[in-house]
Amino acid sequence: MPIKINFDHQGNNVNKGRNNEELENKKVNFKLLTVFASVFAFIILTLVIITIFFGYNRSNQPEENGQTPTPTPNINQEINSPSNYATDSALLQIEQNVDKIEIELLETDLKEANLNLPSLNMEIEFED
Amino acid sequence: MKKQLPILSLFLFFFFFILLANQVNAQNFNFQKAYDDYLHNYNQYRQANTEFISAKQAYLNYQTLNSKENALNKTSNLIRREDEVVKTYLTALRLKLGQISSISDYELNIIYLKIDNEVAWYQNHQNNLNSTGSLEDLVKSSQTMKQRYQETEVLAYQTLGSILAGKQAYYRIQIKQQIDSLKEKIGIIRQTGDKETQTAERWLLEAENRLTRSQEKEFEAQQILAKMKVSDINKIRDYNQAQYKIEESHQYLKEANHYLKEIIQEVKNAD
Repeated sequence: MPIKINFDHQGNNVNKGRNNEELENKKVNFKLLTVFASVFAFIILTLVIITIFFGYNRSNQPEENGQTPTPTPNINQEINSPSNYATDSALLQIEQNVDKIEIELLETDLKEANLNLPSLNMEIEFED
Repeated sequence: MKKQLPILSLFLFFFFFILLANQVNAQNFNFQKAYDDYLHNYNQYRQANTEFISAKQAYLNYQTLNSKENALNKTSNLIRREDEVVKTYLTALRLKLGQISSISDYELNIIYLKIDNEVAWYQNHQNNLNSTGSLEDLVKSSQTMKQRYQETEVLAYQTLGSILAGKQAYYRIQIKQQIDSLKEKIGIIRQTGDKETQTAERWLLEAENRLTRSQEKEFEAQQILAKMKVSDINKIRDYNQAQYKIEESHQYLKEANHYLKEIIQEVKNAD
């Protein structure tokens, strides 16, 4: 596109002044844009930091959303309030022995079917 | 003397080597090996029985000398296999009995003696087969074994009963030991006075009562087997009855042991 240059009645270039003004305006706009972008970036960065910080802290805290965790099986469910002997070593040893006997009693073979008498053919004779 | 020393050393070396080898061999022959041996012989017996039935049928159909000779061989083989099956079965039973620690030495030795006598009889019967030369002799030999097997059945059922009863006796001893330990502990707690022990002591009596009931049932089972006679036609029925009593005895043991678990929970709980 050809550049159009205007001259006043004294022969001075009129566009020269206008170009300077536009250049000044553009500089101002650029500065405003930079400031605005910096502020925006700062706000975003701050929000990200806050989110990360509080999110991390929250993950370390127990959930309080009204749900209870799945209960794990407890072999001592019947002990509501333990006595002084709940952790007594002698008693625990007896308990261990009793548990072992219980397993063995369940596994005991009460038939010994593999040792049943063999079935033999005792009818050996040669008559029709 | 110096010349004889190497020969004497060599002799002693071989003597101890053979002695050691025999001991190792005896230690390795356990119930499982005896049982495998029995199963192997039982399979061979089944095969011999199939061959005997076929040879007998051929002889009855054709009555030829060839079929008679074949029947003679197959019959002799069958009886020999039967002797072997009974011998290996009794040996397996003997070793199984040896695994039961709660049987008294006296009872064990009596049963061992009976089993050894029985095995010796079948061994002798097997040896005598070599001198039989006719089908009639083999039939007679089979009849002799059939009669003897009636006695073997009684011995086998009684031994099986002793094995099953011995297992119950073993667990009864184990449970009794736990009852005694628990009694001692509860006695200490009572003296300390920081927990009520009356409930636990009452429950201990219940557990002991279950042990007594278990022993009674085991005794009933042994009585049934002791009354078994050689002439009894249905020995298996008597054995099944005895075995049922043993199951009842076992159930009482389970209950006694469960009571102990409850008593322990009671002691672990505060009043």
